[in-house]
Amino acid sequence: MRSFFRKLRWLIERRNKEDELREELQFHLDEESERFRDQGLSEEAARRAAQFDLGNTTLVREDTRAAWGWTFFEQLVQDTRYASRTIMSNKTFAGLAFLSLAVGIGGNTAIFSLWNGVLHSSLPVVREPDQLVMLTDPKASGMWNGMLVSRIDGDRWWLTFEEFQQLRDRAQSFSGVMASQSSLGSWQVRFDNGELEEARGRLVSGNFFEVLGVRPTLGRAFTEADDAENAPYAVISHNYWTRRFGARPDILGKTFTIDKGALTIIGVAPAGFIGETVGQQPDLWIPLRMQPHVMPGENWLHDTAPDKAMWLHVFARLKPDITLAQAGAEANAIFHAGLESFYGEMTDERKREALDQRLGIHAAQRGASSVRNGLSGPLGVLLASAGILLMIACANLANLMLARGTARRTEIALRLSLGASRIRVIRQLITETLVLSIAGGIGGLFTAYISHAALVGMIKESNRAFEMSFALEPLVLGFGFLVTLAATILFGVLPTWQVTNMDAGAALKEHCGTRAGTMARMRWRRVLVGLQLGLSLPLLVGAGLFARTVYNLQNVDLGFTTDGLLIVRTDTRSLGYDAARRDILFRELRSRLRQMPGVQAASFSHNGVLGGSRTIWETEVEGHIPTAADDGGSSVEIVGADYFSALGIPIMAGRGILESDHAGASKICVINEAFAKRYFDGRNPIGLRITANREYGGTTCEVVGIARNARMESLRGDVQPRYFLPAAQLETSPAPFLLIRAKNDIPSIQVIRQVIQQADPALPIVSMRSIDQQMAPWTAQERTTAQLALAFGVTALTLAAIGLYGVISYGVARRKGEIAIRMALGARRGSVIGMILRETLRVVIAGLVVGAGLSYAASRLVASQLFGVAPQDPFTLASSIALLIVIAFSAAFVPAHRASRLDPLTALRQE
Amino acid sequence: MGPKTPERVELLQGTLELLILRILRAGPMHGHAIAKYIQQTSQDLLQVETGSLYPALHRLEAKGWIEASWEISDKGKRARYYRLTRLGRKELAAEQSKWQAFSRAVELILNPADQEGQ
Repeated sequence: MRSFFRKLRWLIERRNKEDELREELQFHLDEESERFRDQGLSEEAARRAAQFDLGNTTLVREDTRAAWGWTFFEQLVQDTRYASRTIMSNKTFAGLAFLSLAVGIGGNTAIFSLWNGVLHSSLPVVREPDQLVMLTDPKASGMWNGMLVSRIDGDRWWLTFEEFQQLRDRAQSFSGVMASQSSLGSWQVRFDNGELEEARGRLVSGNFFEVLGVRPTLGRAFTEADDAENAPYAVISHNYWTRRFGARPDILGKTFTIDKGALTIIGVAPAGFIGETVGQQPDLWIPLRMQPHVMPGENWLHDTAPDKAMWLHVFARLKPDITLAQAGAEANAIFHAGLESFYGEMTDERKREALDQRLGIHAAQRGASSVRNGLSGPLGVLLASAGILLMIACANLANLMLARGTARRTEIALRLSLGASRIRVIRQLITETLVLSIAGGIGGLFTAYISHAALVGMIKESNRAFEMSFALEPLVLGFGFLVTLAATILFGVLPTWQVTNMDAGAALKEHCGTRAGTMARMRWRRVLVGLQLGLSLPLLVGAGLFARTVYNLQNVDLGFTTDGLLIVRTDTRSLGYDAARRDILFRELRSRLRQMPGVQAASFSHNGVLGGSRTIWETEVEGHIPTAADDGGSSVEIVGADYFSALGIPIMAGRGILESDHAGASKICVINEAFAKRYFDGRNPIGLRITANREYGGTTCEVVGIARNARMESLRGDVQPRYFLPAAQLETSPAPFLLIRAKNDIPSIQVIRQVIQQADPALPIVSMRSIDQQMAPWTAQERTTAQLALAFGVTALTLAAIGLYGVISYGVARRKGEIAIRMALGARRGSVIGMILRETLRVVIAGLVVGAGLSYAASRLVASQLFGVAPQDPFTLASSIALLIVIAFSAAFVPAHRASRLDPLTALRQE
Repeated sequence: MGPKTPERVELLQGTLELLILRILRAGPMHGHAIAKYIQQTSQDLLQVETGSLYPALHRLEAKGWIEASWEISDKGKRARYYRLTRLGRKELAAEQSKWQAFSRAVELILNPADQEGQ
């Protein structure tokens, strides 16, 4: 250790020590020459003899320095300085290299970070997340008011408040059981009588923070005491605290309102804490029991049989030594006891069905996430594409390095022949490569930060609640490091090997005119370019496939007329409209709207068009024997009169729903073609009867018409069976969507607002959308993927074109003499161009063969994400290949054309 | 060839350092003096590459076996004097006995007859 410090001191004082060493050796020389002089030699001869005895002073100094053990380090510093100077001496090269590395590494790291955050990493900040389990379905989010909601395998999606309480109070397998609202709430909040603003948050049980093992940064978290009837408190996230309040320390005690409830901020959660759901960033948390206050008109805390309000995710912390299976068995026993007492009064058949429910138990280390499944495919594709792009960028860089190496061959040959060891030169070149890749890696981190935000923004288009911040976790950093390392090897090894693998003498001579031994390098550069072209092809094909998917989705036959349709969402529920008043309101609205110039028809419905919600009822059909496929009931839509003509859905048989189908008239319904096919299977449905929801008293109606299949729920897959009931003949249902059909142009939103408010000035208008706006979220994810795929494809092709251009230009420049001779001997311009393009063709064909293989292999990866186009679609493949060939030949044509313009005389004289 | 001179012996790897330590036991000395001392006391039989002397001195200094300081030589010039440290003294004893054991062993193998004869 002491010897290390001695050496370190030497290193620190090495300027001084260097002088001392020089002086010491000079002293030696002086003494020695004096000795020789004493022996009778002349002054000059004595000095030379002394020098001869000591040998090469510089070498002695170097060896002596080496005795202190810092040589390696010193050389490294030297090399790094030299490398930085060399790289910076060619600004274009430096810029290009840095940019391609930073973008390549950054893009990969950003996508990996997202992949890690969504699919892989544990819940941040939470204490020992591996002990957490979930008793509800981690993939599901939402609310269900009814009897059953479960997956096909029978596991319940969400639990009710009462079911949660039973588990919390009775289960012995857990050290704590907490509940949280499964969907992220979006609330209109108001601070200090200011403007309404949106805040996102969750209702959570009092022990939420305690079970997660999270202590607040400021103030206090909720406790079980906050599960009381009135606990008007909120804990805000660190993110919201900084973003909305500039991290004010006096935030505690601040009050705000949500709807009519007033709440007080009592704490700030620690930085990085996002709660129990991945991919979301709540602004605030509010105790569960506040639900009726922040959602007036709804009570999800108490249930009356047979309906249950199911909306809670339930998490528990497993006690040590308890297995998942033991805990699951206990939780299910408690759950069943609860079902037993809740459904005690019910008739046998339904009770058996109601009791046939289970709780799943899942490890919840990674938390809940409704986006995890949907994103895993696209993120995998993105990661693969970004990897390919990085490889292309590296091949390009390797090509640049090779070109530069060729230019530097004389320098290196000179150094080798002056006695530098090959290892030393290789070390120098490796240092250069490392300087580049370290700069690229650091640049990559910044690029990753920026592109992560851009990616999150793109995902937000299809999933508004999605939020994720860029976390520099060890895993992400490690990935970034590995990518940088891989890139370094990809672009650095070949050029270094190529440059130093030479005969110094030959290289020096070559500089003086002869040109032997460069064909090998030329070949390598062609291989690299061929590889680039090959790698670009799958990216181009991917871009084509995704672009067609988006086109197909946007142009899918919806089964109704989309032009001139306006979907207006109102909110009758908050005004407390009952069925009778609602019908009067809508009748008035309809007649007012129809009187508007330009409006052709108007109607209303319960779920609107492609709004993301649907209603499913248990359904019995006259003469149809239920099969397994009928389990879970059929889609139902509750509609106003003229619904079909307003939407432009053709009636295939019978009639639509009319004004005359009012409460007093006989009950009727209209079915769609899919319903007719499944339930009537060839029989004539007209006049037959359907009974909906027998358990709830039931509604029996007669089929009076068949409507054409129309897409109301989803753009993909088959249209599901559905039947339509007149709202006037039903007791409940708010039916908030007004459907307005314009003749030509959609009337202005202000005009429609006026008309609606003439009918009821207090009626809130939640949104007004055209069908395009309504469809946008359905294609957002595909559009995002297509945009990224297109960006990747274009970048890849550009890089490959630049690479090809560089190689062909270089080849032409080197063969000037040969071309000049050919032309002098009578070769035409066309044949010179043809000769160069033929050589290009070989590179392109080799690339295409590789690329076609890769595209075929990659097509399976994207198959599930495509719509209306086969993954091996020949048209897409052919047009991608055609595009690639056109671009490649355009890139090669420029230098070929230049070659054909050569003046043979000038060129030959230059040689 | 020229007049016959006694054949010069090249130093074995590592022995130079032992010699330096041994020489410095007599007292502080500068590099040039050490070089001369080796040549003279070995009757010019040992050829010490002057070029390898200084790296060896600095190696020993880095190990902490000797230390150096600038002093004024007999002729009134500034010179870098080396002296043995306590650690160096200990190392010298160890190295010396190691060397003696080694040379005795080599001697035994090279001249077994002499030994038997005695």
